[in-house]
Amino acid sequence: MAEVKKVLLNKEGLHARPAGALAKAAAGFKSKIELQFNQKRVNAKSSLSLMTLGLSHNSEFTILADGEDSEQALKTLADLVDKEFKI
Amino acid sequence: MISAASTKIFKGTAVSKGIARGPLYFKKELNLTNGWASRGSVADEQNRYNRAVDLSRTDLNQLIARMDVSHSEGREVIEAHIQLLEDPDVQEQVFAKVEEGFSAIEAYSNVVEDFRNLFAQLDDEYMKQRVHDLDDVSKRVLFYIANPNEAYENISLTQPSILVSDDLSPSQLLSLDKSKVLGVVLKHGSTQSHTSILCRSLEIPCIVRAAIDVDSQDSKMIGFLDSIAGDLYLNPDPQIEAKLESKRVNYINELKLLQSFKNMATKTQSGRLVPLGANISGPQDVESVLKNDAELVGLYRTEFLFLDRTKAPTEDEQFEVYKKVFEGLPNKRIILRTLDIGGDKVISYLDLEKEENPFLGVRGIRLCLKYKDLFKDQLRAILRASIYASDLGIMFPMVSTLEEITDSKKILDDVKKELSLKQIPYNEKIDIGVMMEVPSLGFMLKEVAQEVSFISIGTNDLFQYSNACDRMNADLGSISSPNHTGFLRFLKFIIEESHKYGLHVGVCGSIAHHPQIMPFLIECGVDDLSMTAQHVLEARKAIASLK
Repeated sequence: MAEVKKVLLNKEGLHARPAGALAKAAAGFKSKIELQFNQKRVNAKSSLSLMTLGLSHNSEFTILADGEDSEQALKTLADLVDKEFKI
Repeated sequence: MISAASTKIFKGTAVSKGIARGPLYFKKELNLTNGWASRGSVADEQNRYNRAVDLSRTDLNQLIARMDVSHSEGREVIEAHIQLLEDPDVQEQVFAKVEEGFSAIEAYSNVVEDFRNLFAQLDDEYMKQRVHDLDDVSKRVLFYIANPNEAYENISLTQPSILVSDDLSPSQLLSLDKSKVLGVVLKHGSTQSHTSILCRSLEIPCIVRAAIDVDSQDSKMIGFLDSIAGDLYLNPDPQIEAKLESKRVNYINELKLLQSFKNMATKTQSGRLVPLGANISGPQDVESVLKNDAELVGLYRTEFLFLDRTKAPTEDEQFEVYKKVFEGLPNKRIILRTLDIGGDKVISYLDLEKEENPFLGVRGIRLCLKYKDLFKDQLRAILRASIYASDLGIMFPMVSTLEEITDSKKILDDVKKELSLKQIPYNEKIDIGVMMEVPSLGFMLKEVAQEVSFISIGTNDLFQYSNACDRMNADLGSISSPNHTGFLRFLKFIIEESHKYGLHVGVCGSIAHHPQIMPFLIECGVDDLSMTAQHVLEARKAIASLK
């Protein structure tokens, strides 16, 4: 199990488009990937669940990955967060 | 003998004028009954769910394939819907519930309901609205779980009919053969929804918010839709039918009479010309400008393009749209108003602060001067498209200070210089003007005239600001009538001051075709009037009888 702490840079929060982009990227990995925020943990491959976290601008959250490609997954997703989900 | 008790009347709000008679077509909503009734094995129910997801995916992909390539926004919305459709958490939870013994339809409804509740708890207004996307998707899936052998979008009009439905999306309306849609009656909907706007421009009689129960009606009935009064009659008795029929004939004759006012200049009996313009919001209105013979476009609202989307339109996208409008209306004067939005509208891609008083806050030119890149993109697109326009005016909205005018002109000049450097051509003869909506600007027209060549009085906002009166507030009653002595004197003052200092002055608010106020404006000397295209011929006829 690997994890990384991130801060959400998007001004509008984790809205539909960024949540969709994150879920899509997460789905490309075999590992189980989750997002944790305020004691709530959800499947990062589900855009719907990601949206229900209510992440807003500057929220601090954790990405957790468990599986053979967990390191690569964390790197890719952390990158995506830093780039504000602009692919 | 015909039973007299058979007439049923449903009241609604008229959104598109007209009178239609014909058979009724009831667009049935979801039929879930067979899905509830039969519950198969766990495998059956899971397959039923999987199949519904597959059918929905096929639908959505076809929708994308049918869409105009340039419609990137629409494509993104549908792609997001496909993602919701395939959401792994939803699938997992549905499967788990089916294993607990629920039918596919129960399981899926429950899961969607759980997510609805989670969304309702979010603080963010925009996110709460995302529930509509989920609803859109889940309606389709539920339909296919219950009816795997039917088509979801199943409006099949075999004969010209009055369409009655709970609701109708703009794309559903556009997918229909217009010659078969005599009228539209909606249980929901609103006067300013896109569907209502489309009905008006397509000249399909339409009423909304009609208290009619679609599912309990019999489609063998004959309907009479009077969307002047806002009534739908089912099986009218002979007496009522005769009355409606004569109203219909009168209406058609009236329209015919109005047609005789086409292709002529608008003038009073003494020969004074009062050009009538149309207010438009994009290329979809071009046809009705031509059809109703408007002499100019007095107000081209550009904000339509910026609303209901996840990011601002690109310069190229805007260029294509403006070009389409300019090319569609050659030789007509067009007054284009730059982006007029503010805190009262949700624009997800701008981080607009929530304001206590959005109508007194960062809106119109104030917003553009704050988001300069957004403003420059629009100006660049307008200038690039301007070579397709013969007589163009650019107008800044919600101006309250001279600095706003000089700052905006400075930005426009900067953009022109940029284009010249890149050798991109633009029309050199563009007039600059401002909206006259903030009362105190009315006392600065001498200075305004040093900076611009025309003003357009936006009477809706000017009235709201000068009479401290929210025109959307129904409780205000007659206080919200613009037929107010002080307000009319103010209008007269503005028109006279404008002429004193050499400003061209037009009126583009809804009072421009008000039966009592229009003659007053003309008497004051207004140079032109602009209104919804459908009112132009009526106004021309009224003006022709003025001295």
